[in-house]
Amino acid sequence: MTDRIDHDAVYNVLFANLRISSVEDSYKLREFSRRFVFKTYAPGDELWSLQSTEGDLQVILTGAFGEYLKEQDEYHLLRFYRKGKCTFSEDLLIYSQPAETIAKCLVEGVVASIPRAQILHMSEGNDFGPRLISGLINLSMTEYRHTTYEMLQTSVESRIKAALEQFPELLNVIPRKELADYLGISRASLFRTLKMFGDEK
Amino acid sequence: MKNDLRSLRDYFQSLPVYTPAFDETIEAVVARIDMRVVKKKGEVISELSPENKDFWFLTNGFLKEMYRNSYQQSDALFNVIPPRSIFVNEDSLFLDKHPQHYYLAQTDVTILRFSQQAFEEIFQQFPLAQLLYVSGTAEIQKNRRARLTMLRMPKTIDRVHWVRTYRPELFRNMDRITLAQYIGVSRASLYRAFEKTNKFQY
Repeated sequence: MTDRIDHDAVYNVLFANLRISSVEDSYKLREFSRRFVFKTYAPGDELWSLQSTEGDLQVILTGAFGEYLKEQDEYHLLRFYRKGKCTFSEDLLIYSQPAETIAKCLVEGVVASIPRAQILHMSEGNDFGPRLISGLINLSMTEYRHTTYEMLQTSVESRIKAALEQFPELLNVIPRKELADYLGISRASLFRTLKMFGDEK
Repeated sequence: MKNDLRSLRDYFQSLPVYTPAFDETIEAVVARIDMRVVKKKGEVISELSPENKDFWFLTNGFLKEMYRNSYQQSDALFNVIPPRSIFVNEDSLFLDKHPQHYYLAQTDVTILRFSQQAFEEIFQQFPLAQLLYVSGTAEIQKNRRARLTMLRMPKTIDRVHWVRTYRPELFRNMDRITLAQYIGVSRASLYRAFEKTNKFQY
């Protein structure tokens, strides 16, 4: 019973994130979502790392996760994923390249995943696979666009507001130092602005 | 037109995935280019304003991709598109929505249209078209990711340095207002940063 509900949840997330229009594709998507397996992640556990060799498509059912880009031995928070989001290493899953990012758990949660090999296997002889990949590319492009909107805000207040719109739980799951790094502002500015928001309330 | 099509071929051949096995597919795409548009500096690319789902290739000149910044209640720069780039109306193509962005000619520009219908047909006939599409988007993604890391640099001058180093073609063609918007800072911050380091853009 629990599994059926969870697979329904996987289907719902995929359906909401990928643009599935035909009844036939919707049926295939339901069948596809039944192949996902579930795993619980604790804070610090990695969804993928720089050493990962094959990408999975993952659906966040509960919890929160962060994707980090490694630059000159330092990891910078790139994006957040929370309940109801699809997540994957674009490098591994779509572009068949070594991962340039890692993703790890910030708040304990359950993730459903399916390996790339199985996606390719399911795609043999039909066009569901290419359409799925196109859908994932579109999704990824759109996510990057939204994150860019946040970062184009010139004032600290607008940056924080834009980030909170994308991810309302942000302040509860990210340490302030990491949040300042993510927003490209100093810790002092972050504290000042958050205090101002608090005073406004 | 001949030079424009050569420029499109060059673009495909510059993709990391390219091998001569793609030549037939590339020629099929080139043969289906059905519109060439020339715009003067400052003109809006009206062809992309309605809910257009075609693929467009900028052969020469620079485009500004603009969006409505709801926090500042004004139109603002989202990106600058350099020559030899493919661009689309993402809201319409990906999300079936009315476009939230529009394109403005930063210089005189020439663009080519590859219709969505032609894409669908070629996709059926030449499966390698999928790989070209994936490889093209991979490059766009890499650029977006790299720019995001720049936008998170706390010092304005480091962002300027990043543009100068990694986007020299854009840097040479940007005025200061555009540069400030591209790196996500106010004009005042940009001027302060230049003054502080005694470095000037030109």
